[in-house]
Amino acid sequence: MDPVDHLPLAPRDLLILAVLAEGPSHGYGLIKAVEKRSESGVLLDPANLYRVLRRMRGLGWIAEAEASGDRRRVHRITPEGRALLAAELGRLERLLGQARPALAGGRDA
Amino acid sequence: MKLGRGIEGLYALALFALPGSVRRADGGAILETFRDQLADPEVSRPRVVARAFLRLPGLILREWLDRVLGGPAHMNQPGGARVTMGRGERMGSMFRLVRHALRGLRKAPTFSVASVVLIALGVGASVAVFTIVNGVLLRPLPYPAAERLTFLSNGSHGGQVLERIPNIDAFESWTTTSGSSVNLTRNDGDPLRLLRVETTPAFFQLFGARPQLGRVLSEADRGNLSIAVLTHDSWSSVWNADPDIVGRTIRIDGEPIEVVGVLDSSFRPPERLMGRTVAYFRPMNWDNPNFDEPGYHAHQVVARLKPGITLEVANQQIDQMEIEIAEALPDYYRNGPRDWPLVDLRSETVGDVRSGLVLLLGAVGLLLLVACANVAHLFMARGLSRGREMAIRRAMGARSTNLVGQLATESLLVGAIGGGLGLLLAQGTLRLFQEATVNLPRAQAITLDMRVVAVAALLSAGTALLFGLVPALRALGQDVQDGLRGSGRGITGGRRTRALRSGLVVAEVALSVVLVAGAGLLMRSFMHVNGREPGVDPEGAWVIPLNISGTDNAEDFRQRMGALTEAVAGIPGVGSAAYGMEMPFQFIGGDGCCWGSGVWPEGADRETTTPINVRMHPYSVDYFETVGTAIVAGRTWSRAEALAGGEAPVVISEELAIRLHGSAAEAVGEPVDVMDGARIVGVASPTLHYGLDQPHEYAVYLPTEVLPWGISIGSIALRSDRSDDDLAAAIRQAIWSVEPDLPIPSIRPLGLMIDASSAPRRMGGLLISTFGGVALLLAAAGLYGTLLYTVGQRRRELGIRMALGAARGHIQRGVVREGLLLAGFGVVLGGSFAWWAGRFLESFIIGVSTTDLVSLLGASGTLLATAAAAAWLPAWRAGRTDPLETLKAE
Repeated sequence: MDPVDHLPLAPRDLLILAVLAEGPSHGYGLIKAVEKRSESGVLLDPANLYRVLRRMRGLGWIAEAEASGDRRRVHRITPEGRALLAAELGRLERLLGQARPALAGGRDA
Repeated sequence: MKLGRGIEGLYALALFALPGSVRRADGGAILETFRDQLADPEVSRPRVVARAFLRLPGLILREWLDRVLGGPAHMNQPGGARVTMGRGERMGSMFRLVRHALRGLRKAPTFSVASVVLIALGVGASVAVFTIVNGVLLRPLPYPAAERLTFLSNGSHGGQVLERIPNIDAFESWTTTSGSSVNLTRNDGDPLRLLRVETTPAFFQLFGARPQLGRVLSEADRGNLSIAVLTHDSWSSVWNADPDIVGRTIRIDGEPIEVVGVLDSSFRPPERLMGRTVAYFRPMNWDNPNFDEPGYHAHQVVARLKPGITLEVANQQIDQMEIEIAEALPDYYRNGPRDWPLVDLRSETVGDVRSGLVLLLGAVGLLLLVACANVAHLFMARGLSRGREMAIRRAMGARSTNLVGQLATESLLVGAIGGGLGLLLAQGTLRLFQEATVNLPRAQAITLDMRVVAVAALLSAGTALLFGLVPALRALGQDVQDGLRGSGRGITGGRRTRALRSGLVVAEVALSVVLVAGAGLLMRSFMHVNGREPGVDPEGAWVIPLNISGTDNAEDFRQRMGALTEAVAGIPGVGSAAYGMEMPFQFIGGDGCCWGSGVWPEGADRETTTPINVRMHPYSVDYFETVGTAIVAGRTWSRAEALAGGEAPVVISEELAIRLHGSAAEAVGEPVDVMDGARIVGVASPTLHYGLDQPHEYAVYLPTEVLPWGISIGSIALRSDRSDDDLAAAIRQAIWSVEPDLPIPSIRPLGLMIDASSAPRRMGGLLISTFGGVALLLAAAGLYGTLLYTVGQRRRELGIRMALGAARGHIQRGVVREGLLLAGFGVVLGGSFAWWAGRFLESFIIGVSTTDLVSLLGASGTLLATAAAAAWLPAWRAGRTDPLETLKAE
């Protein structure tokens, strides 16, 4: 499936992909990173996190990584996930590019 | 740290509600992440915990929906509405409906959580209690043709009855059982006391007991007393489920016994006949010499009626048998035949807990009503506040069927989540209950069955639909224009809704008064029972129940118990020790034990009057000193007196002395008509021998030296100022120095035994008090909500009044007055009902009148005080109404 079919991404999915793009992470690491990046806008609880991860695994965006020494389960981003992230970021950038001049030139309502 | 553990455990438990596949795939990782989160010092723990738990129900629901409707893999966005991928249209729309409803509920978290909790509490409590009632009272006994099983009541029976039962033509089949305690010798470990039941082969057929290993007893075993059929329980607990047990020899009371079979685990021993702890069965000893004794009664009789034969018909035949027996033994039955009514085995098994359980069911029903009333409050408030939302959506072209569908889904969802949690709650409660109550008959039969679950589902769905949909529909039915116009005047249902809400508050208060007053009655009765004088001094007194199996004559009993008691008395620090067949508070409840006799008052006409029933208590000489029962007149007997022969020296209880001779002092020296003649040497202060909540029994205490027969149970009491652990060890050592193979099942402080006799009352009182407390809280919440709501509705009016110069205090008092008025109505209504309903508690309370004013006024006062407190905050808010603010909002 073309990654474009999945756009736009939900903020939560975008954040998770962005965190994983920097390197594999275990569950709690993800929760913390997502919370930090969204400035506490996206708060995850463990059970819902794994539901999201399960879905993203199913779509092939992420995969479970070999744990190194640690017994914890670790997730990493797949090439498909990376492509999707890039597509979404591109879309957002284009959107921003269009919105900024409008905002700068417009008047307050 | 400990708290964290508990929370983690709770979370792990909650995760069990997830579908199995999800739990297996991610359960461990979820829990691990949660643990990491708790361990992180940077996060606010309460917030993390709250988030994890509050989001779980919704997630669980979604995971289950995924399983039912197809996984999330088919959806692009978790928050999006793009659902279908070749899925049925209807499925998709149902899914969307649930999704919308979930979102709606999430937007009103207070409402959602409150209604879910209320429904869960109501459903949980009523399902738990109903399940108990169903298991104990309603479900048939787990035996073939159980409805035709009957029991020959009024005590045990002897040879006279057993030889005539086969002639009773109403019986299709019958059996008899008799339990005795026996001692199992073990190579590895202390000797063990077991319950053996002797019976006939018909027993196994009557009670549907099949062998798992070997065989059951057959006619060919008649007379062979050295074989045993083990129960599944004892086979697994005592013999570690040894697969080669059949054919092996075990040693019981020193004799070799061959195991011929093990029953399968589905067999439940009939409790009324033998309790639950039976370890093995052996064939009847038909050669028991005691069968010739008319006074020997040790066997229970159970029979299955022929199909179509009624209890009445069978009882006529039993009456005939009773007359025959009386005619055959005119000396023994000089007062005419005895009455042994044949009764239904199930009612006999359940006995007197029936009324207690029905009471519990009534109480929980009241609680459920209060909870429903509160759910109704919540839904009504929500329904009204959504009038505007509905109007907007309709104005925008939403079809009303869609809106109704959504409202119904929301209600059902709340009902379903609440009901599901309620079921979990019920299951937890039941598990606790089963572990806590050993005394309830048929406790094993208590399990959640599908019918109960179905009732619970109907209950919660019904509550939610009725109270959720109706007010919402009314809001929907309003004129769109009206709805859009705004909050204040727009809601036309105001007055009727207010009346309805007030009615609900009155009903809630009334129901709570009934519960609280009932709880008060039970607690006062418990306090009365606990305050009664036991008649013994528990401080430093200990009781050791023993089973000296193999003893069947008086001399043997005296010798063995005497030697054991002497050994115990010789322990340093033991002041005195005594023995008897049993000790005070050992057999609580009264009818489970002991030796009774009849005594005629002096000069009474024995042809026309019935004798006074007395309890005969044989004890060794130091008994009164050991248990601390005072002698109020005369003295105790001496050993020399007891051994002298002729008239037996006895001590009688004070009540008996008064009944026979007018006073304790006058009774001393008088003869009394028990045994072969006895003389009263002393009078003892009254004791509550059979439990704090039992009536005083007329008692005759006699020396063990004059016992005409021996039995194989005995108890030693001792008094010591030594501490528990050392003393118990010393006692065991002393007893085993005399009889190394004697099991010592327990060494109990007399004080604990006394407490145990009133424990069921405390339990009952606490349970109803809990219900009362919860009802009180709910009623307060309902009142609070209603007042807050009316104050909110009247803001404009209040603002205008304040602008016109009304005093703040005046307005506040007005609100409180309204609250108290509603509560007052409820109190009067509930009080009258409680006054009338008190009679149903009659059999549960002692020492307090069923129309006890203290409990009634106490309950009313509590309710009014609670109501005043609940009214205060809304009143305060009303007083704070800012006239400018409200008027500006127009």
